[in-house]
Amino acid sequence: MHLLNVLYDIFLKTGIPYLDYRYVVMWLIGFFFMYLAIKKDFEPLLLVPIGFSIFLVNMPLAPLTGPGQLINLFFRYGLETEIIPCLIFLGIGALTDFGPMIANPKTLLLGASAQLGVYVAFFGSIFLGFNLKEAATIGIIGGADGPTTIYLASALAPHMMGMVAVAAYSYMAMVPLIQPPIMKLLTTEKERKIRMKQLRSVSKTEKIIFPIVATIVICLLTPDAAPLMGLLMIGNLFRECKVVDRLLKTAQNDLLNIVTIILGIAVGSTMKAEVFLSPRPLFIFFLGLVAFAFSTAGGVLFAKIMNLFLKEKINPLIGSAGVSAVPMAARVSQKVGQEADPKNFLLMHAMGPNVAGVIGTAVAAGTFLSLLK
Amino acid sequence: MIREALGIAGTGLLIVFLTLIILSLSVKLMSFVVKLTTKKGGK
Repeated sequence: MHLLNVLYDIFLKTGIPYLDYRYVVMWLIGFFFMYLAIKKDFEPLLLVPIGFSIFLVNMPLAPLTGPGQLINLFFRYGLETEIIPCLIFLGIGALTDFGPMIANPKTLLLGASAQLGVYVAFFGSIFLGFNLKEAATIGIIGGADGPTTIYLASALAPHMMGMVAVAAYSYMAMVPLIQPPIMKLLTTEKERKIRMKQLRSVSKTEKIIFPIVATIVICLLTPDAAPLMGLLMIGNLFRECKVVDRLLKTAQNDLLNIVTIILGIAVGSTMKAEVFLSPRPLFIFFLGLVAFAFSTAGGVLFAKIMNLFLKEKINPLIGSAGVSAVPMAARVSQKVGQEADPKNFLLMHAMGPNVAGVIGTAVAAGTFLSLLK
Repeated sequence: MIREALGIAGTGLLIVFLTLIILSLSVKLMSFVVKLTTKKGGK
């Protein structure tokens, strides 16, 4: 009898008696993300840590997310302090070539127009009962920029961070599935065949001065975007000045990889069964899709409007690349363009709006912060 | 709340466009000045 009591006490100290169906549902969601990453190659660098973290934090009694516990510390010091999204921007800046955008600055306007979905989803969220701060956090998914989404969520609606981050990264991974039908619907065969003049080469001096000019303009006009834009531009200066090779390599590789691991684990940890299993995440996923679709349409339609005034026409397919998701959205423009004309090369032209979209989304986030914080 | 949201969305979209238009013009100006001040438009 005594032995049975001891065994029962031991049993009560395991997680098994506390396991219910909600935890198992969350495990399945975690497995689904890992499946998408490992089998389908959808954003594996993020979905593997996020998926495993979802699985891990939904282990009953595991001391992981309580105050002062391991993953809680990742979340508190990495995300709540907004350090990690900014460090990711440093890495992105170190990896990004702004040359195509400098060669054709008009494409910055496509980066702005592709933020349309942000504001459409913002409205949609309000109609579905979210408050203004939550609506802004959902809307920014339309920018298709994971770090910016997390940055805004940590400032305006930290309780929604996991859901919006997962929605943003999921849709970014699904760019090749979501965008082409919208692009084809909004353009004619003739428009898709437009060939654009080869971009001029951009000098080293221009590339070095650009991060300084961009920092001055953006930080003066939208000061709340300064943490993201500042780090993006420092990273880009590392890349272009060619004298800080060690810093550049660290920003591009080691630092970016370290913060990506911590980001993935911290984001996944917010998806606990008691928070996630409600109708709200479904609304968020739906609104994220709306945001993404409208952003794609905004970029394509604005390119068509620009063509009414331009002597040298631009191919409207590059407008959809304004949704950030670098470089996947640019590759989609190239692919859809080549379906209409196999000898048309749009990739470099699409990189302009693509990197402009990163700036546009950060500015949109900065504006929300200044208006709502 | 709808009116407030309209204001925020309108202001937001306006600021995004204004910022990127000004950035676009600044980049054009920068390229022009670099071309003007360096032989063959810089190294």
